[in-house]
Amino acid sequence: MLFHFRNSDLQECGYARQHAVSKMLAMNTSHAQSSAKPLGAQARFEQALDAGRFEIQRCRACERHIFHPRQLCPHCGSNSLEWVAPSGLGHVYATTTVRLSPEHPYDVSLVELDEGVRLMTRVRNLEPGAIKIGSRVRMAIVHENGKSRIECDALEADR
Amino acid sequence: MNRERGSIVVAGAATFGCGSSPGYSDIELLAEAARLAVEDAGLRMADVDGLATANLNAAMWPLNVVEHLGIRPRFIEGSNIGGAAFVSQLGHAGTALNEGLCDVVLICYGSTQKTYSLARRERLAARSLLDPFPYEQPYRPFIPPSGYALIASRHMYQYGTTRRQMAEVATAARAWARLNPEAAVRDPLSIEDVLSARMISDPFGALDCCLVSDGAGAVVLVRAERAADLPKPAVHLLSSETAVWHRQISDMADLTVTPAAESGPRALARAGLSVGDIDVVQLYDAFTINPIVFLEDLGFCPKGEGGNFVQDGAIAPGGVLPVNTNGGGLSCVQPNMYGVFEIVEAVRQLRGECGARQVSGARTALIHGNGGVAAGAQATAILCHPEAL
Repeated sequence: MLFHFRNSDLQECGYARQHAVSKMLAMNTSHAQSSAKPLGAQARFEQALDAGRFEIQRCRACERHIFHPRQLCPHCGSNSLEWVAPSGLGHVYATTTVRLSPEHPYDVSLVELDEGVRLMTRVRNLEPGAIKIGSRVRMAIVHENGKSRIECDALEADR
Repeated sequence: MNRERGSIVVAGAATFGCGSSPGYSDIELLAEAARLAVEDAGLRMADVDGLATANLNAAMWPLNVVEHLGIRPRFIEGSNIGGAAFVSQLGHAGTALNEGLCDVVLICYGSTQKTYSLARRERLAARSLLDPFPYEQPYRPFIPPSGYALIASRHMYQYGTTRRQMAEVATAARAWARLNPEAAVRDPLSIEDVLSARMISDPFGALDCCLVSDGAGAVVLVRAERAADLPKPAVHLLSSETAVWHRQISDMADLTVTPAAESGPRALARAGLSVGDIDVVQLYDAFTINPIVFLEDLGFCPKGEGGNFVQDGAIAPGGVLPVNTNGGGLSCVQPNMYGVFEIVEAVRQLRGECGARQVSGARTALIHGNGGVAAGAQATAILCHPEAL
């Protein structure tokens, strides 16, 4: 099963809207689980991803975005972190093609989101070896075998 | 670490079983290297009252070593930051000796990663279960080459570094290995051989990657006043500095700058030396990009110029800077955690024991260790001959 990360309206309306939407989502989540204990950052991230939402953290104290998910801000040490929906856009920062099996090579890339954080991912709409550093990409959520992960597509202009 | 300059001496150094040692276990190879290092220092195993060791397969490895060697150390150091561990442990051992916590420290390592009955791939899988990378494993990076391949891709993009320049690191290592009877691989190697090897994780081909070998290494440290009575020429430990910045490649702030940019300047400052004073260099060459980035981070050349620096045999025998004079992890020995072998080679160079590969008049040595799957842990140490104190 494959879900595209739906973010077109968020991109148009800018950060304030994103912020409001993610806050709303967070409220829904906390309402639904009001009796449950709070989750650690990894479980919280994975739960949102399973529900079709790609969210990263932002530190309320120093206002920097954070990925991978953590309990404390690695920049200032604050534990006051909020979950926000990123724009879903970024660029390829580094890339390699794994050729353990020469018949089935695959790419592993690092993407830097426009929010300034980096993550390992896969560019799924290009052949192995065709990815260029600097190419613009749009993130997507992939659900497979009961697990969810973030992948991305190179934007048309950069293909 | 040092109370006074030169107060700590590496009195013994040895290797055992480098290359292929079927029929041995990790601890057995380690024990043989430990025995030889203690003997080299003119001491007995019973004199050892400090231990520094680590192994990637065992979380409580110092216990294995204490039990097997039958020692009763007062100082036990088992911190494991990957391949940089032993270069880092030099500093901790030096501090313990200076503080009088113990009198003789044995730093030791042994691994049969090449011939061990449990295949390397199974061990990597077991490790990823016990110590997962939940945000990276879904993308199946080939650990460890892919992390360093990503570093290389970024270095090539930002600075125009080429595969040919990286190949120079491999051919230089091989040229040194051909002068070292202990090196595992001694066949001639050309730039074209490196460039045409089977690709592993772009931009690395098979010959951009270090060996997978067996081997053990050990060194013995004492305070300088004791070294005066010992048989081998003293080699002084001037500094050992460690820096750890991250664990996984996606958390490395700038893929072209490693924590060597912190550990190196700290180690040089504490030793009271600059890179221009260094006669022989040992750099942890897990992949051909590593020495290029380390030469930049340590200050041997400006950032981005490492590729140019290593060209035309500059780090090979007869070049401007002798790097990895044993043949390195690329051609001599690489049993998973390579740092201890860099220390042994630096000691041998400063003692003048290196035969055909001896760097004439070597008085100072810089040792740089790398640890982790993404260059996250780095340690730099400086050793010297008594004349350079």
